[in-house]
Amino acid sequence: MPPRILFFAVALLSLFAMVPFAVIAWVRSAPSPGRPIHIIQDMDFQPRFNTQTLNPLFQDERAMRPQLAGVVALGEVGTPHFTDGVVDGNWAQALPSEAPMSMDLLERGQLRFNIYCSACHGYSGYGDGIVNQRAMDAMSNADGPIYGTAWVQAKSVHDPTVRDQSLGQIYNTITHGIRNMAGYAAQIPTEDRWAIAAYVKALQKSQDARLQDVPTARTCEPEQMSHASPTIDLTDRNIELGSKGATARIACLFIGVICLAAAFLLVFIGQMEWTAFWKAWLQNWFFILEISLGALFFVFVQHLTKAGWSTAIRRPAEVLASNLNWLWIGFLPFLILLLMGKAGHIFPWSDMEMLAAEAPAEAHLVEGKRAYLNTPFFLIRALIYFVVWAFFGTWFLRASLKQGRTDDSAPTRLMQKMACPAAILFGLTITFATFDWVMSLSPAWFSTMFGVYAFTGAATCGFSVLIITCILLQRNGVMVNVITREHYQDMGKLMFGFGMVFWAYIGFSQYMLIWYANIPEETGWFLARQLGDWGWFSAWLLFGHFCIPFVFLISKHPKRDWKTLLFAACWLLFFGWYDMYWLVIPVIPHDLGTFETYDAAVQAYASETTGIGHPVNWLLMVGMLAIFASFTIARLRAHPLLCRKDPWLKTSLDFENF
Amino acid sequence: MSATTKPSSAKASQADSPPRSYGLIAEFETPAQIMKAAERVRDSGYKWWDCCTPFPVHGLDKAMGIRQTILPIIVFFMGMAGTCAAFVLQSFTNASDWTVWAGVWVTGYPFLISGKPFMSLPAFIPVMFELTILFAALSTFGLMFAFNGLPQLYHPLFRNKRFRRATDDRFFIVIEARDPHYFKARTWEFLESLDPIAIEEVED
Repeated sequence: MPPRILFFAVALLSLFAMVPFAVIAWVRSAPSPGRPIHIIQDMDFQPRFNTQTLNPLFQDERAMRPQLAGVVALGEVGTPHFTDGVVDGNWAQALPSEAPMSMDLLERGQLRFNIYCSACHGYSGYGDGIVNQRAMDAMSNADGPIYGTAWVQAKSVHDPTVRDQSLGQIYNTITHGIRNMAGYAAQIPTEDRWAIAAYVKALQKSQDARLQDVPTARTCEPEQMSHASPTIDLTDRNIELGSKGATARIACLFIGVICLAAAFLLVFIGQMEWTAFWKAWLQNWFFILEISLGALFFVFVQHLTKAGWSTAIRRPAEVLASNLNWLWIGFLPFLILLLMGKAGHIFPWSDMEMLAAEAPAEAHLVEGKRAYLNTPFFLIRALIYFVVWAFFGTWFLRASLKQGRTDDSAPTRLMQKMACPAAILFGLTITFATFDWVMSLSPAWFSTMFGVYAFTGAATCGFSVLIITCILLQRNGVMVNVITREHYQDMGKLMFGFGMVFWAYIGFSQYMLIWYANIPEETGWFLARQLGDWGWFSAWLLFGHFCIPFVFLISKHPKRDWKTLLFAACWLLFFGWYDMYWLVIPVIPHDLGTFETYDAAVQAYASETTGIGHPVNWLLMVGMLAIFASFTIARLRAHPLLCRKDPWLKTSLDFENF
Repeated sequence: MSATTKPSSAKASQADSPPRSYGLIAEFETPAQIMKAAERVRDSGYKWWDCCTPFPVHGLDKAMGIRQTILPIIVFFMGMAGTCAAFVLQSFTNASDWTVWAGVWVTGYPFLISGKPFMSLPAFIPVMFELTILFAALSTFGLMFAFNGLPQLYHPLFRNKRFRRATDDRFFIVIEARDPHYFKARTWEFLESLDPIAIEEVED
């Protein structure tokens, strides 16, 4: 153990050792009349003269010395043509023999131009270099120019007065400067100045070339391309339905009215309960609504992504979406039933007394949702959905028609802007509409994914109907060569991706969370879809909506052939309807929670039937689809089937999948 | 002694033998020209040849007669293999008590999770989905490289000065010397009939 005094000594010494550093720190930062102490000199102080300073050695005391008169640097000697750019007293028209024209010379000129000239003149010579941009920013300051900047923009080399100058004159300007521009003779060797002048000439040519200037061997006429698509007929004959479709329209209307009337009749004579009928009505109407919503999604997503490929097929989608302005009619029965207070069997929350009598536990849960699930708010929300849908559904069609009449691309740009609010409002409305009209059929149950699930359903129905519409149009002799297998392949991809894989993904995610958590009030909804015949019905949904079409459509070949694609679209459209049936029709039995085990519940309800074979379902489906088709055909006939002046039209017609 | 002489003699013999020919390149100015030329080369029966263009030329695949790749089919089955692998893995580890040899002896461990059956498909599906994607993506990535002969850090064409413009504004047809139809004089003559702006031989 060393003596204690030693510790004190060391501590004291270390303290003293700090003092020099503290002093240096102090003099480095304290204000003083003398020079601050430089601990590390770097190269701050050198025995030399700085620019713009005095040098008493010379008579004129300038540190910067001008070139002595008559001195010529190495490589600067030459003919007047080379050194001054003058031939016989006139500006030289060609390069001097010392710097003959070559690709190397031009590339050298480009390099030097980009180093010395582009700062003010810009890389392309328009006088928009980085210095100019900064100066412009400084001058456009709100409180007057920063630091009193005054700036004359560098001349554009494409200005006619500069463009007509000869090579020698440009060389002279680089050498001696002009107006605000300094001469560059001191920085740039003579040969390089010629290189820059030659490059400036090339630059001017690049912005002022005509087709005749291009050597004939290098011009490429479109028809030279051996793969060029067959000439596409864009006259009315090919892109308007004209007299075609008149019969189909009437026939569809006729079939639709007959089917709906027959369905009503069957219910009147007691073949079906009114409650069951209105639920079937809800299912079929929502199915039709999904077709139009899917088409609307297709339209705005093309604008949102500025897609070029889809222009040829956008009009049919716009027409399908425009049906949203009358589809609200299908909601009227529910409006009346709700106002009369007789919707208790369809929307149990609308008649709380009945629900409390039938299922007190469920009523207790629903009571907490009354702030949202009450008739006035329900109707207000429905009104909002219909207004939003009708607005966007028709707005995109009208804007697109406007684009078809004008060469100006303003309507397209407006549609691209409008697609953003459309996307947001579409997402919100379809989510809450599904919550209101489908999820609230079982008001005690809830799933946050339900809105997305309905959106995928809309994609299934909308995209498949769009494909069917395009194929039917082509089978009727219009849009020939306008819609190609390339478009079909892409529509098939969308149907495959959104309407099928994404549907399965969302459907399974919803199922798995509920299955895993295993909470009674959540599992009831799925349990109801496994009782009796519903078990097989659900299994068919999985295979028919996903597994079978997945294998069928995964290759590109069935998507490119219209026959197979038509089959797949019809198949998926049917399963879109089937999916709606699965969502709307089953009722969760009130006593489901009282069973001891899953097996006991399944046994008790082993005789549950789905009722899908009932003719009213099919009459409603055919009837509504036929009326929808009738309106769609009428609108397809009223407008051209193609936006002829769309800026993306050519892209779309030439579109090819790689 | 022999150990020191061997490398030098190998070097000498390499220097003595004339450089092997890689093939002939023909230079074209426009996509239209190379499109027509490619159709001719395709129809003349060459197999080891290629077109090099600065940008993708639509329809050139067809003009060259390139067949459909079998990659998608392999990828599909690799995806299915991923699905099966995930199912087997999970049902073995979670739902069986078998002991199997997999490098070491491994025993399954039936583990009860929140009262679900040992073999519960819904719980397996996320992993099956993931492995489907993983197998498909990895096989796409790996096989795309393998089928294209990549990675290839050096290619004889890179030494040709003319060929540099293939990334700028020129279009090239390359017929390789390993093609059974390749005979230098005859192939040169054939390329000349395609009316290119230049033909050059490239050394290996």
